[in-house]
Amino acid sequence: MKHLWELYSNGTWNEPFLIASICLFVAASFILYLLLIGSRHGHIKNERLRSEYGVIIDKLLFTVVFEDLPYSDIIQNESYKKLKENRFFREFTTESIINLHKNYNGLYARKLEQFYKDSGLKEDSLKKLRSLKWDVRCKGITELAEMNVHEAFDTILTCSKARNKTLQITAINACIKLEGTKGITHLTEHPYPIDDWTQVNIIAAFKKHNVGDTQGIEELLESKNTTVVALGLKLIKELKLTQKVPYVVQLAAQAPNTFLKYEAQSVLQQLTD
Amino acid sequence: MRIVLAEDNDILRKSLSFFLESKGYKVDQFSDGKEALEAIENNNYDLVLTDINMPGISGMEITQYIRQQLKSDIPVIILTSSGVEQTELDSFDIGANEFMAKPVSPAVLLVRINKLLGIRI
Repeated sequence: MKHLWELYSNGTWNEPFLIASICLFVAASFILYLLLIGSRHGHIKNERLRSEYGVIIDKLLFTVVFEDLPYSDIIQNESYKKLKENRFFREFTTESIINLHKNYNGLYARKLEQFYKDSGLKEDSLKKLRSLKWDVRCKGITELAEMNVHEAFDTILTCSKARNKTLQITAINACIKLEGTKGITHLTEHPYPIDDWTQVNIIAAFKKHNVGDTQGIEELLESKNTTVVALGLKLIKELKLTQKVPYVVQLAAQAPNTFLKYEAQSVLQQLTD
Repeated sequence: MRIVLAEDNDILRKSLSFFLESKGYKVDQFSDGKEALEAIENNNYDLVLTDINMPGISGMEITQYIRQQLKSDIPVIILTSSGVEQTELDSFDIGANEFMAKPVSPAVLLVRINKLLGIRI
């Protein structure tokens, strides 16, 4: 420190300062260059592995879906035996299963679900729910919901109370897919306002997953959170739940504010016209 | 029997192709609509199985081209992830023989293909 102060006070600091700055710049550039090369190398390696593993995974999944082989026979496959503990291979397999599951239904989808459970990929997705990164948790939630893992419902429900908006919406959507109305009834106790974007997503999830049993939606109308009540009204209106008219009538008569009263009356008008 | 399969989702295309080949069909698969259409123009196929949203040109445009430009009555099955009623109506309107919304069951697809080709199992 003393040496630096002497350089500064006697006015000869310019030269060492410039040399130090140049050295710092060169070193930083070199480190960034190495990072870039490392990242590029990683991407190239991943691409190579994807095409290499892709062939094995395709073959494996076609056997799972189209040939009635039990898991005990599938694990006899030499390539699969060698790679089944490899993290990248497992991740890529999950991705492919999810992709195929979105496109197949019936017996074929059930076979994929069974393989997802038997191969332990379900546990990988469950592990993602414990991650500190919200995007990893979202990925885990999406995978579990797509593969209809009902046992993950309670954990996903906890995620739906998160402060992160994307995580919250992903979790609520997953809860609706897994358990229908039961996936949103906990919102009656929700302490924060539910914004319009989240409400739109919830309504879209109900429509997308074709939730037949709407028992419990009326509970939203009893919430102390006015945004939850508004969500309940929107759901009743959008899903045309005429059987909920008595609850809406009750709300219109005892609404805590004029906005909800007007909304309830508007829903009533639409449902009874 | 030769089938054109135009689908840009790699694993779905490959798996459907694997399934249909295992049932005795010869499948030419394409991930690009334009390439599929070129193949249809230059070869004699018995059936076209196409997705709607694809790079190049769409499944709707392929169907329209087959009916209006090629004046062909080759059976066309449209696959799509759109659940919109209007898409289904439009598909039949431009001349598709069958419409299947994803997710699909390969077994049901096979039945529809066999029905269109007049094959009895």
